[in-house]
Amino acid sequence: MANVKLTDIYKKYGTTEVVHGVNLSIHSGEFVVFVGPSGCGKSTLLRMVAGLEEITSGTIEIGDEIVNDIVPAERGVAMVFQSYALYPHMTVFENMAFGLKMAKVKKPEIEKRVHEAAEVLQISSYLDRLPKQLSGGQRQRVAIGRAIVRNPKVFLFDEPLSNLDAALRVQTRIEIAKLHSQLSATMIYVTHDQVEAMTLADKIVVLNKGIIEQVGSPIELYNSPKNKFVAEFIGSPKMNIIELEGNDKVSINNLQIPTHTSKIGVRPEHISLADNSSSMLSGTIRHIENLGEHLLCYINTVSTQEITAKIDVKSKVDLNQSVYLNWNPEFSHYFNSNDQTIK
Amino acid sequence: MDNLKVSISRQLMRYVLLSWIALIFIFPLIFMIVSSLKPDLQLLRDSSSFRAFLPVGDISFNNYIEAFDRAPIFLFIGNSIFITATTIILSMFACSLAAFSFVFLEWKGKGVILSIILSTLIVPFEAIAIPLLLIVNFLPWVSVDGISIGWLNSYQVQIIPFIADAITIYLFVQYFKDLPKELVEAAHVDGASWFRIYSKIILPLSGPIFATAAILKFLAMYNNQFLWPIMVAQEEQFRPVMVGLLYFFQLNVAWGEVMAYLSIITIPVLAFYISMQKAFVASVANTGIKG
Repeated sequence: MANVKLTDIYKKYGTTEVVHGVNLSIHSGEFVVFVGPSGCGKSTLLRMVAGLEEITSGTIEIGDEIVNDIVPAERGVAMVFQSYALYPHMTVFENMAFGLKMAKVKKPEIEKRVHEAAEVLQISSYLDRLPKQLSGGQRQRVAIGRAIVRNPKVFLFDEPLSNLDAALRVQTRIEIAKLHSQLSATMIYVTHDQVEAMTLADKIVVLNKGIIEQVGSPIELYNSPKNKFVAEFIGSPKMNIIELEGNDKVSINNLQIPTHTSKIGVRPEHISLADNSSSMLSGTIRHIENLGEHLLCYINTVSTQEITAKIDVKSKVDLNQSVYLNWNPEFSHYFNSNDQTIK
Repeated sequence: MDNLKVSISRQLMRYVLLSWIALIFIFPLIFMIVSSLKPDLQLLRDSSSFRAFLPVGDISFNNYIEAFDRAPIFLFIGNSIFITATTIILSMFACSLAAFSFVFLEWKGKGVILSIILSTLIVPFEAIAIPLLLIVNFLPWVSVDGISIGWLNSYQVQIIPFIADAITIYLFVQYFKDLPKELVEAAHVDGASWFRIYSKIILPLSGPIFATAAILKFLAMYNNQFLWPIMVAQEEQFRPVMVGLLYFFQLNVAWGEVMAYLSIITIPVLAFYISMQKAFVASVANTGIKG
């Protein structure tokens, strides 16, 4: 377990700067998730912590030691790759033992540590198999096992679940969460899946175009996004943004709107059907998705802005039906013309 | 039912075509072996008919006995095998290491240097033979007798200039580029040194390309070593099989003996190819579909 501290981290590829001065403090034992759209720099940041990518400027500290010039193996980190990166010609045991062999750990100790990790991950019966003889989920567990045996200060996960099918992803997600509580290790996890971020993280770091947009607990980001980007990125389906300015502006009734508000954000799950008198907004249903437990209605407002509403499955709604909508004003998010949240 | 008929007839046509192509390739070999068993007169008489491919008439191993009398065949084969095998081993090591550096290591100017290496592909050996001869003539060599100058009449003069070549480096570079980079990164995080990554991760995964490169190198070394040995190996004890062929073209050319000699020196080529065939086919089949 160790703290990780990133100070003024910049990364340039040639003349293109991809990370623009990141500052971040990760406490010992914390599970931190980097989220953001493709190309936002989250994997680059993780790889810089691992030592696989050089930093252009700034400092990275792991456990109070500056590791800028230290090779990956000596940083006390272990990494789980998206593609598992298991050595295809080695058995599961050899894969897990490789790092320990490189560190010249004695044979009995290697055996002990590999078997312990295999037990935790329930892969003891596969130790003699080659990676190609394993399923995707089993391979991912071996990759995690390879990280565990090294007893690292920091675990790094680079989109470890993206190659798994939906069911296995949920299962492995739960296993990773359990593992974190068992090991109490510092973990940094990169994903573009915000459900993974919300369910696993103690702290989420939302990145966009090489800068940190916001750092906070999942609930903090969900309830109090700092700006429109975070508001839209966290939550599924994403938050509705209603434009109050421009040609296709929407007029909203029955709501006290702060001055300088340019857009209002409201999450689909907070919108409900209402009668005409109490409604804030009206529109026509253009598409309905029945997800079993609820309906997702895609509604076009008079000014053609699209609103998504997550409503009760028993609601009687039809395509092209005119509907009135409202929500608890407490759940409104107000953004100024710079897309920053108005407090 | 009609579909089945069509598919069977298609399959049949495919086999007929493939068999025809196989025959075209194998006929010269059959001609060589069959001719090596015939006396010269019959060989020349048969050559204008299909009998040239049939072991008929006065068949014997006399040409082989004569061939062994005329040239020290075992010495030549031994020399060729030694030169070829040593070059292959050193070449596989040197060229794969060079390619590893080009693909996985970060260093300034590697793109330029790789381009320069690849550009040597367009320079024929004949163009550099004389300068190379001048160079090797002045190179020092350490042996049990001390330091000597000049590599002429030696094995090393037929080995060292051929260790590194652009084709082999290029083959390795292309293959290594297709290997997942994460494997190298994972090994890096696991604490493996560059040489360990090369020997423990990359080498075991590169069997097919080593086989391909080794076969191509073998053919280049064993079959084509003619001009250079003539220039640098005047002493018989260092001569390879191709130079040995000249022994059969002095004064009266005995074609039966030539065929017998060629049949004998083909055996190592066939043996080598058959032993590497599986890996060679796998390498060719894998090109472009690595997952």
